[in-house]
Amino acid sequence: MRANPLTRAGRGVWIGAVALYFFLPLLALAVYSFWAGGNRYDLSAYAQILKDPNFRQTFGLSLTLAAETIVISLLLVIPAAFWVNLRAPGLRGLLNLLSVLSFVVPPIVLVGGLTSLFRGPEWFVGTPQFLLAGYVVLALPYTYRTLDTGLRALDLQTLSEAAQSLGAGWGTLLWRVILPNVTSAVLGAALLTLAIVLGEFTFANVLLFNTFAVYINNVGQTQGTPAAALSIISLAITWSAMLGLLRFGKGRVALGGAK
Amino acid sequence: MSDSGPADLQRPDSQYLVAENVSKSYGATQALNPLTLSLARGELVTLLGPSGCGKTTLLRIVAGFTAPSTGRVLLGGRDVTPLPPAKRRMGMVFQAYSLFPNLNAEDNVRFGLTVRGVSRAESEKKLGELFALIGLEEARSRYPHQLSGGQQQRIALARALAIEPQVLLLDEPLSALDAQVRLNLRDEIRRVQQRTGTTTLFVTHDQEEALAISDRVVVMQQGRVAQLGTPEDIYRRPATPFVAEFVGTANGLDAVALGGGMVEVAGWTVPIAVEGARLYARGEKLRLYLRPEELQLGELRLSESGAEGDLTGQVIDKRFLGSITRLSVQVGGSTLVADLQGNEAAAHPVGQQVRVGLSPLAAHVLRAASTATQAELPHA
Repeated sequence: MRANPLTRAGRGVWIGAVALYFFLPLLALAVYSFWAGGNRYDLSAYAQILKDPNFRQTFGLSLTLAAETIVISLLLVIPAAFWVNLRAPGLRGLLNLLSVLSFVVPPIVLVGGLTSLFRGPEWFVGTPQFLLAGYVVLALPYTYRTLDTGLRALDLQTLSEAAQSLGAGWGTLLWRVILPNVTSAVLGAALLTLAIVLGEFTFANVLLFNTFAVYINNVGQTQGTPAAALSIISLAITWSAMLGLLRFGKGRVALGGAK
Repeated sequence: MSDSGPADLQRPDSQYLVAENVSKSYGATQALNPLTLSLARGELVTLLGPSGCGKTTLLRIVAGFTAPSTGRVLLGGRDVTPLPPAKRRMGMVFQAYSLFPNLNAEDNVRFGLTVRGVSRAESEKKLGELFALIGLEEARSRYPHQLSGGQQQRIALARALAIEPQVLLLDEPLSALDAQVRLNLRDEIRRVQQRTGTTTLFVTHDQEEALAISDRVVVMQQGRVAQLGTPEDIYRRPATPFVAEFVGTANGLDAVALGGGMVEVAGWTVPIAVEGARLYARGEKLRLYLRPEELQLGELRLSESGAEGDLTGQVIDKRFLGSITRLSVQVGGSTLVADLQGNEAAAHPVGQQVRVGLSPLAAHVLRAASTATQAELPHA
C-alpha cells in the first residue's frame, strides 16, 4: 500500500523539525567550540582541554567509577532479576517499585540520606568510591528494567530446567546459558550506567569529589569555548561508547544466533 | 548406561525406576494422589491423560523439579528424592523448544558433556554417534533459529542422550510439531530409545502417540491412575468408562444386565461373551463399549453363538478419512460410529436403514458407575 504523498510530506516535515530541534543546539555548540575570537576558528579550545591535567584526572576517575558501578549493579541485579523472573514473579511489582525510587526521590535528598546512613569507615566515605553507593541506586531503574526486559524475552524456566537436567549448577546456568542470551540487555544496562555516571553532578558536587561532571561545571563557569569543546568531547565519548557497545552486541547476537 | 551401585545389583530390573507412594498437593488442591509406579530397565512407559490429570507433575517429581508431598523416587534401588535435578542424571526433552539459543546444535549436544568434564576427544566421538543416530549430521553447526521445530526436538533428544542418562524423560516433546513431523519423530524416538535401551518415561495427551510407541501406558485421570497396562490392554480392555472414552474412539451404549450373559441395549437383547459377564446381577446398569472398527453394517450376523446380536438404525452422516470412511448411525437415542473400508462404506448412503452387527467378543462391558480405584489396579 502506497502512502498518501501529503502524509509522507507531513512525516518528513515532522522528522525534519525533530532533527532540527535536536541537532541545531549541538551544531551551535560545535561551531562555538571552534571560535577563537573575531572571525577566527581553530582547535585551540580542544587543545587547551586535552592538555589540562584536570581533564584526564577527572575523566579517568569518572570512567573508573562508571566501571565499578556497572560491575556492582550487574552483580546485584542479574541474579535478582533472574530469580524474580524464574521463581518469584509475584515480587516483580515490588522490584519495579524499588527500581524507580531514584526517579521519585531527588538526588539532593538521596545525598542527604547517604551522608546520614554512612558515617564511616573512612576508607569508604573518604574516597570517591563512596559515590558508588549512590550511583548504583541511580543506575538501578535502567539496569533492572533493561535486564528484566531481556530476561522476559527468554523461556527462563525451560532453559534453566534443560541446563539443570544436563548437570549444570546455578553458576553454570547463569554464566553459560542465561548471560550469553541477554548480552544485548547487559550491554544496554552498562551503556546507560556509563552515561549516568559520566554526567552525574549532584552527588559528586555535594560530597566534594572532583568528577568529570564537576570539572565540566567548573570549566563552564570560568571559560567559554573550552566548556563548549568539553561538552562536545564528552558527547563524542558517550556516543563512541554507545556505538562500540552496539556494534559489539550486534556481533554477539549474530555469532550466537540468539534472537 | 548407568552408574550402578551395589544396591542396583540387588534390585530386579523390573523395578529400575520406582515412584513409590508419591503425591503432590498445592494447599487444598491435590494435584497428584498417592500412587506407585515402577519402570523396568529399558522400558518405555507413557503417562497419558488430559490436561491437569497430574502426568506432568509426576514426571517433574521424577526429574526432581517438583518435590513430592509424600513418597520417594528410587533409581536402581537408591533413593534419589533429596537429590537436585542436576545430580539425578536424567535426560529430559521438553514440550517447549529448549535448545540454548546462543549455542549451535553441536555445542548444545556437547553442553552436558562439558559440564561433566568429559574430555574433548571423548565428547567428539559421542557427538559423532549421536548426530548419526538422529540423522542430522548436516545440522551440527546450525543455531536453533536456523532449525525447524522437528530438528530442534531431535537435537534436544540427542542432547539429553549425550549424558548417557539413567532415565530419559520426555514431556510432550511432539505437541508443538506439525502432524507429519509428529508421526516421523514419534517413530524416531521409539527407534532411538530401543537402540540405546534407555529407560524412558514419556508424557503425552495424545492417545495415538501413547499406543504407538509404549511398552506400557499409564492412563491418568484427576491425579489418579485410571489404568495401567500394555497399549492393547488399554485399548481392548479399558478398566473404566473414562479410559474407554479417552483412549481411541468408543461407542458407549447404556445397557442393562439380563443375566445369563445377555444384556438389553436400546430395546434389543444382545449376547455378550465378555468373561465375567455372568457376574452382573440382573437389572444392573451397565455401559457397553464397542470400537468403530468392530461394528459392521448391513446383513452381517457376527454373533459366534448364533444368537441375534444386531441392532437397527439409520445412517445420518458419512465422513471420508482417507484409509477409512466413518459413518454415524442413529440407533434409538444413541449415535454409533462405524469405520468401514471404502468399498464397504459406498454401499451405505446417508439416510439408509441398516443393521448394526455387534460382536459379542468385541463388546466390552463395564458397570455404569465404574471408576477403578488405586486398590483395584495392579501396581506395575
